[in-house]
Amino acid sequence: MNSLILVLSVIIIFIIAYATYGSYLCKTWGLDPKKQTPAHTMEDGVDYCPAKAPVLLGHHFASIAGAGPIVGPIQAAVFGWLPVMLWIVIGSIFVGGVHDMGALFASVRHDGKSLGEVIHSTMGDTGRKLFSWFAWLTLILVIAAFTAICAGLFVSTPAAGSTSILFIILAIAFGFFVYRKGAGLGVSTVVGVVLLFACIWLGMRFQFTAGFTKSTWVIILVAYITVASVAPVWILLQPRDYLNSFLLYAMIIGAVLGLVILHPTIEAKSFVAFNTGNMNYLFPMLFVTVACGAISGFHALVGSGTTSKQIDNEKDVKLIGYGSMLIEGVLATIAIITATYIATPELGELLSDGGPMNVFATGIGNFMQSFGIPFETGKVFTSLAISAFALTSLDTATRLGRFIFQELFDNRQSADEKANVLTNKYVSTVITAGLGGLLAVMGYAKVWPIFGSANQLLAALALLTLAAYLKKSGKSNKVAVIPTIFMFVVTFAALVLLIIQKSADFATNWILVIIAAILLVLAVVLARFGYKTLTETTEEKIKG
Amino acid sequence: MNKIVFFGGKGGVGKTTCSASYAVFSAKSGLKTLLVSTDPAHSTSDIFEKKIKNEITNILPNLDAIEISGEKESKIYMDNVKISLKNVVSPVIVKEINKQIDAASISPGTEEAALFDKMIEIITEKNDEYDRIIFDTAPTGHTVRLLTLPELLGAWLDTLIKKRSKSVTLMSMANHHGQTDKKDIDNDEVIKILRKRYEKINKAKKIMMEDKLLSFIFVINAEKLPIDETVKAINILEKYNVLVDGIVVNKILPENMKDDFWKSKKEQEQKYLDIIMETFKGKKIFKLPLLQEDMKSNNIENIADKFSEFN
Amino acid sequence: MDNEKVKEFLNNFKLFFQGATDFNRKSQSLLMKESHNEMDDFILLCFGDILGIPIPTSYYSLELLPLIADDLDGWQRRMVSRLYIWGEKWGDFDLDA
Repeated sequence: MNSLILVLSVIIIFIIAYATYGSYLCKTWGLDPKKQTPAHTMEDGVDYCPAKAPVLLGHHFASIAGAGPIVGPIQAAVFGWLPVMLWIVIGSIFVGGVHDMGALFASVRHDGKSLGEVIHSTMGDTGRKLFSWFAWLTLILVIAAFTAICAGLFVSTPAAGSTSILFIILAIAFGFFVYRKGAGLGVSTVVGVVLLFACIWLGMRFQFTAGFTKSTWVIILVAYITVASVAPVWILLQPRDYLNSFLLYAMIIGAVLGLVILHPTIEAKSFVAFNTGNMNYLFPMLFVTVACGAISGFHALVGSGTTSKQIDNEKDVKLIGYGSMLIEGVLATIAIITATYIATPELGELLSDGGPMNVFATGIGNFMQSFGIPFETGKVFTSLAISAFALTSLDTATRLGRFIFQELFDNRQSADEKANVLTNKYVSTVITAGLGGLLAVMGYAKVWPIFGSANQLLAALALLTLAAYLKKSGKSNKVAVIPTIFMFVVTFAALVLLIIQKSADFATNWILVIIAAILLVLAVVLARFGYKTLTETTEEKIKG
Repeated sequence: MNKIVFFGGKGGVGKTTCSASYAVFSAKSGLKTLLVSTDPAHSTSDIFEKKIKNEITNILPNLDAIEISGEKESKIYMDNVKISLKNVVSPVIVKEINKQIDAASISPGTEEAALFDKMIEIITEKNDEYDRIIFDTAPTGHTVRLLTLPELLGAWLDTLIKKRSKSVTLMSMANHHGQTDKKDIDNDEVIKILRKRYEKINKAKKIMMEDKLLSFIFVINAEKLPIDETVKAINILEKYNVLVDGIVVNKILPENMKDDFWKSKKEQEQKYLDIIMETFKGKKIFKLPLLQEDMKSNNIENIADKFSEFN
Repeated sequence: MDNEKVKEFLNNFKLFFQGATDFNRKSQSLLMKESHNEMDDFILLCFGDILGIPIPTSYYSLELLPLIADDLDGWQRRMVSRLYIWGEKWGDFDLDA
């Protein structure tokens, strides 16, 4: 099968789904274009501020898309590309899309509070504490997964490591000259882009190879995110994001152009086996491995908080909530194509060698070669771009994790700030990043499914909240209930399987087993809380 | 004697008469003097038999006086806030916020704060104009609070200025593609107000504490309790580096008392006077007699002369 | 499909692409958010008594009221929902995962 045909058919299916199922959701939920949105009723020019639908769709998509929808599908390709594709298509339409659109909808109807806030406020003190612990653990897993993935990439493609370091130095220097010294943005941008390519050129010549093992990179990365997450936003964040946009432009153009010119034939097997060995069963593992491309709980927390405050009209909820999830599905499809035109045995080798990012970079490198960019350059460039996004996720997760940790350990009955060292900004950052790093050393292959389970558990909770909200408002909630049950079953099964699988070698995997066990317990408790909310649908329980 | 003199002591010991006569003494010795009365009863007006208002009034050659009250000052301040509010936001919104202002005006610290504010204004603005400024002040507790105010307010203002500057800087970074404009901070109205207050409070602090232009005179009667309290008060003030210059022992009984009751009273007084001389050794001790009639403008000069013996 | 519709679609597509790749907006909104957070703390230090927190210096902050008055309502609303960092911080920083 030709990959271009695959992408185009996915796009057509999504357009049909958008027009049919999307509209069906609008109707059953009662989206009302005449109803005033929080962006208008609470407009303050700070958070609440109406935005044009297409622009907001862009913002929202940028918020929910990242390295996640690329890594998951490639990793899952070991089962063969067909099951992954089916899950991406069906998942995006019936689970992820419902979840994202529902989260946005519920948030718009709750004064723009994010669904995380809504879930949080429906729980009692104990539930709230558990939910915070759960969120913190999930963030640790994000840190672990992305640190491990970057470390893997930097070992397999040493040029990517040195280029990334140069890129960070460039970003800091760029920020210093533009934002502090007041050098003109136009000139600086030209200089910045030139230097960006100089980084790649230099990075390919000076590679950290000798002595730079995965563990070394994990330590370097943990040190970096610790510093980056406590530094003021303008030192690194602003210039880096600015430069990142050039990387993204170039990567998108390269990938799309290459895909069209090369339109490779899919070489990989469409289906490998239900069990790829070591108890890696297609069910439930596929459904926790491909998270962001089909459904991701983070979307409910991250996107709904800011986006819902900017929705101009309730009818935009469909485009922004449902539409952006479908676009993410297309992104996941492109990601899997980079893996599937490589034949299955080679894919396995590439995966075990440098992980899913290595596969993606190799794929895009090949695409770019089709219009004359040397393979090595294209690969290093793609590695830089994707690891730059992973690094953004890393320090954001560290920041968020630190906030939650500080909040969890602060005794609100005491005024003594120094009494509890755990609430210290630096201590909590080091603990959060350090624990992530400790897990990262185990390797991404072990961490990723647990991260996926946590993410899917979050999604299950968000769907549950949506179901409860719909029931409370007297609407049919089966569009939410069925995915809720499915997601809970998937998470429970995956966690139980992971515990059994990892317990076989308890001596090395004990941290993973413990974390999976904690997640399982939390899943049970939170599901019970959720079940209670769903059955007792009193007004104040939902509103908190 | 220092340039700014505070009279302190418990109520009823005769602070007002002492400070008034000390002011007359200063004026007579050729120093341009300002007497500031903070006493709500406004007995200064009674003593000089002249209506002194909340603006500087000339009393005698070289002597001006002013009576300030926290109540009046706070009303002026609140009214100013309300007026400037109306020039920034719609009067309809001001109506809502007025509640907030009115609530503030009856809260406990307000009058004291207004009084302190006025005192600081006099110290900073009239310092150059007068050779001596005399405050007939409130009890010791208030004075200590006034002296610690620059500390408290300074830290608070400092934090506010920093926060506001950071906010303005970040905003200008966000709006001008990250470039910061120092002018944004200097032109910010909030920062202007804060800086003005900061400068004022620092100037007062400099005058009162660093240049040591402030001194304190305690007025007591020859009794047990006031002595103990004054010792404590002096300790506190000296901790804040405020010089306690002298002690005025007021209402001393005349010599050669006739009847037994007054004779034993006088003996007791003598005992306490001895204790006072011992306790406050090294400080100037003035003794002022108990007067037969209320002090008025005709007899104030006699008392004023008593200060000359020690100056 | 008529020309107008195609034009509109293309324009919307352009807007979407601009929105999705407008990374400057992200950091800009973060900076603005930080700036507003500083001001929220500032107002808390000045007018905390509105929320029932006694501020010993509240007399002195009254003179700032005219400059702050506009934002006082919004500030109160923001402060009420700040018992937990839920929503607030998750929205500010997007995880990109």
